[in-house]
Amino acid sequence: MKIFIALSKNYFRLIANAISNIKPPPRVLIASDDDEVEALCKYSGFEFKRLADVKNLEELRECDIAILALAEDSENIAMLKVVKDFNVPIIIALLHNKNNRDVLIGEGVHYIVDVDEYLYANLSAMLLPDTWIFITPISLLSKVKIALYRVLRRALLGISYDDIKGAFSKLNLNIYVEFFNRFGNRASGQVLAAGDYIVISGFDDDVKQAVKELEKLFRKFEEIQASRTLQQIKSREYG
Amino acid sequence: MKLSRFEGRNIGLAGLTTGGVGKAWKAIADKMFAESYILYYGFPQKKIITKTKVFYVDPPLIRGKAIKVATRLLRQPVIAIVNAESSCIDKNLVESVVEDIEVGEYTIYMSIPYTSTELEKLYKEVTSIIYKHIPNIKLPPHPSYSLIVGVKKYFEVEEETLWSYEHLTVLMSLLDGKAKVKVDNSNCKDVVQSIFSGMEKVFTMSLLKSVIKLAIKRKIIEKERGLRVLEEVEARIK
Repeated sequence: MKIFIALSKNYFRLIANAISNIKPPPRVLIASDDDEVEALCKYSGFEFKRLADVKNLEELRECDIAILALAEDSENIAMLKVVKDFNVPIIIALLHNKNNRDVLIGEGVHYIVDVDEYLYANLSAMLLPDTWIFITPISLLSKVKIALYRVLRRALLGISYDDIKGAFSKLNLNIYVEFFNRFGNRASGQVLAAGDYIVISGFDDDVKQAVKELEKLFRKFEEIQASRTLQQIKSREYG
Repeated sequence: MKLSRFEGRNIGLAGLTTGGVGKAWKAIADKMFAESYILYYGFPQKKIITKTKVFYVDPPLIRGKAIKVATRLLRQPVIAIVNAESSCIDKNLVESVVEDIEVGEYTIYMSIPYTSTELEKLYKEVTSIIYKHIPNIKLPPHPSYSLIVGVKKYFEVEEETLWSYEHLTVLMSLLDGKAKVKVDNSNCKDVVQSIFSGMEKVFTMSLLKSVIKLAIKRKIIEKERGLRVLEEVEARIK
């Protein structure tokens, strides 16, 4: 197998790791404009070319896969237009800005790996407590989803882990549910505490249904809480 | 089969926008161009729905970066970069300019100033500094333009600015003896959107720095003198 990779320096380690795990080892042709990549290619024994020379590279016709991992989306698209002329059967591209997905598909990429999504999901999980965040862990299997929820204010409701597991067991869904405390270890207590994470993984539809069910459970407890506090407050009538 | 009179033309079009796509885009984007993109360089709040491809530029609100991205995306030898929110652009102007470039009358053509009073004021200060130190160059009279058409090779500059990329291309073409630059100060002017207010100083300073850096690189001024000017400028900003 022969792989063509257009690479920027920040992805070299990642992709070199992935390739060194393939058995039998493929032939690799790397193109880049960074001097760091050229030096590293000498070290790891990959063939190296400049990006400007790719236009006249007849070897590309023998390649089975082209991977476009340049630093910017626009560079990836420009490279894609060049690679397309050589009829490479599979083209994989790295995507940085979520919104540009349609452009890449329109130009004819076969698979897209979304770099943005992991960063976005991890950041928003830290910034936005009490909201659901969905991640697609493997871009090729877009139906496999992970739903993430960080409990903060809703920890006051006093919902136990068994309540949640009980609610799911009724539905008979094909999902995996796990609870983590704020240090990333498996939760050991009985009741949801502030900073806990709820992680649900499984197929897209099942995960969405589970999220809906859990949201229903939260609302039910919130209503109970609200009615309790209403009874406690002694209202005073004027006039 | 319909035959367009622009059949076989090898021109790429990029429309820059920070929000919606106005009338300007509807007037221009037809079969005249082999390839066209809308480059969205604002914060995406609503989705633009058009027939043409929309590319979202990172980081947002940097016009210089958006123009650079346009030159990367388009593969045609002649490219047109247009402010898609402009109220002055009309189809006839664009057509005549493109024809002039194709015939070879000009290599770069700029028209319709795209400015604000604040930007204009700071730009005049900056150009006076540039002319004081590098007297043998000439820059366009306004900080940015809504219509830029030119031969692609002059747009391939490594330097970056935050707002106006035009000046670097003009400098590049100055080095080439054959290049002819035409700057048309039409009566109609476009006003810079209010989202950019407060950023003018940063924009013009980045222009100043990158012009001097490019001048040093291309040996328009001596290296030592250029570095001294850069130091002076940086001291003045503080």
